[in-house]
Amino acid sequence: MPCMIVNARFRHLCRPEEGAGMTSMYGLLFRKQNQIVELIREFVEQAMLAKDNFNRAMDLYFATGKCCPDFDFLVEQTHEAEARSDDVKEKIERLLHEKGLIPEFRADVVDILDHVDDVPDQFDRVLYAIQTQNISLPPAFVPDFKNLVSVSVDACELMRDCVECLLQADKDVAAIRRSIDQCENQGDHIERRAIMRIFQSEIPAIEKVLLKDLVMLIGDIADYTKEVGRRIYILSIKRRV
Amino acid sequence: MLGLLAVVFMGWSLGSNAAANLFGVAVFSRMVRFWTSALLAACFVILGATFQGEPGIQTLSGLTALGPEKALLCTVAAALTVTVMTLVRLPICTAQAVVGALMGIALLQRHLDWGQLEKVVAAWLGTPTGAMVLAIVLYKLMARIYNRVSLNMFQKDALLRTGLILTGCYCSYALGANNVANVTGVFVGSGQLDLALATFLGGCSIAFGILTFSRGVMETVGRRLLILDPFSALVVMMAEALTVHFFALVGVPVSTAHAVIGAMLGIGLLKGVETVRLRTLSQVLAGWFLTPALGAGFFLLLYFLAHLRFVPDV
Repeated sequence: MPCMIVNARFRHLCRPEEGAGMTSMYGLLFRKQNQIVELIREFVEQAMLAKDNFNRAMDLYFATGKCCPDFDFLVEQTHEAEARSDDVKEKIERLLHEKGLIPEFRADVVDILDHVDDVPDQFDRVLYAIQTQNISLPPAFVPDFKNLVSVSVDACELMRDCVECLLQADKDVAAIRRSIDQCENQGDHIERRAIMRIFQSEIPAIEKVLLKDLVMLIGDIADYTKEVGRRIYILSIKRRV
Repeated sequence: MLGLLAVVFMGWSLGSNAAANLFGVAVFSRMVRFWTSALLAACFVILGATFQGEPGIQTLSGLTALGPEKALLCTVAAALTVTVMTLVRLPICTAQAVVGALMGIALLQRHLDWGQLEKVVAAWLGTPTGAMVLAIVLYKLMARIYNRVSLNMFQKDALLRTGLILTGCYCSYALGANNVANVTGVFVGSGQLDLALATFLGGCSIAFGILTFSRGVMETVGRRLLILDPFSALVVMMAEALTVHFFALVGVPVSTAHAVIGAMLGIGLLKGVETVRLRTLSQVLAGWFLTPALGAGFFLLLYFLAHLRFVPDV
């Protein structure tokens, strides 16, 4: 997958450990700021945990073509991770407002966090849709769904890298943003193709509609990551002097 | 006693007008809270006036020799001028008000030291121009450093806030050192106050004005003329502080309003003239031209009122 290659290429740029020396150096001077940075990392990690559970749940779904107890367990796990990410986000917002930190860009940061939060929310929505509507996936559509989930997961990992750029000095957001856009375009393409195939098939009309909705729900994940990338990019431009 | 009241009135009006030039851009770029800035400004104004206010007082007291009555009227006229300008929310140069009142006296007694006046007028022109050039140079220089500093956005914000607070304190110190002369200079010249008491009392009364009535003009400087991002706000404040402190060392009382507006125009020129609200700018400039005339007018009016005598109907 092209997105996987891009993702791996940027991984070395965005490792949190890179900034560790700097963090310890400025630790005393920027205690509150570092606290916020760490909380944002924790928030994104919870979102990534939701992504991992979502990915495992979808793998299970593709293997069985329907819901099962293990799938239900992973749905719960995804939801819990999503709820934890919400808690951390609330903590960050409180810290940003109560401590009066970064007033000029506080709104921008909160806005980005809200959009990052849309991604685990969407994982939740996809899994709940499968679970509550008991959607069966015919084997003919599994490859398209697998590709779509894979692209969405890649976009999500790129989003983490993008947020990491925000938390570190001198990181090039533009390149990662382009990769997210690339993933999103690829996702749109797979989404259209999958919907076309669903409506060209002989399955009952109601199942067509349910599967189409599911495809669109999964497709929205990459859209949300694109929005996060866009906003981080704009913020990085605004910050430039 | 009346003299002391006039000093307090003058200091209060100066503080209420000039506080905008100290922390206005920082408060309205939302990096510092109003009350934090007001308290810091008040403290540092007193320090500046006490420790480095003497050269300015000596210059202004040498401008003209005044008797106690004229010193009082001159101070009240200048204070009224500044108060009127504060009420219409315009940042003005208190020195212009004082010099305007002194010119009123000159009209009466034809005793004005033109050499000293030339020095002051040159400073009025030099302050905004100097601050504008300095702001442009500082912006270019500091932007290079700022973009190369290896800190994330949160840390950079903290750095900017600290810079704004420190520069605001420096501006306040420079204001105290430079402008206390406008409050007490004429009383020192007339022999009613000694230098030490004049600097301390002047500083305290300026601080009183900052704490009680400074928000309106602050809004004009910080919001109505040009909205600055925190980095530009820091550059403006640094350019202002350096300009005012330079003139304080030379011994010429100049205006923080001239310096801050000049520095803001410098940033406006860098970022595009369209970012500057020309209507507000023209109001500010009109205020500057009006101030000396208003000062002279108020003095003549007060002098006329002070010399009215009741003549019984014969």
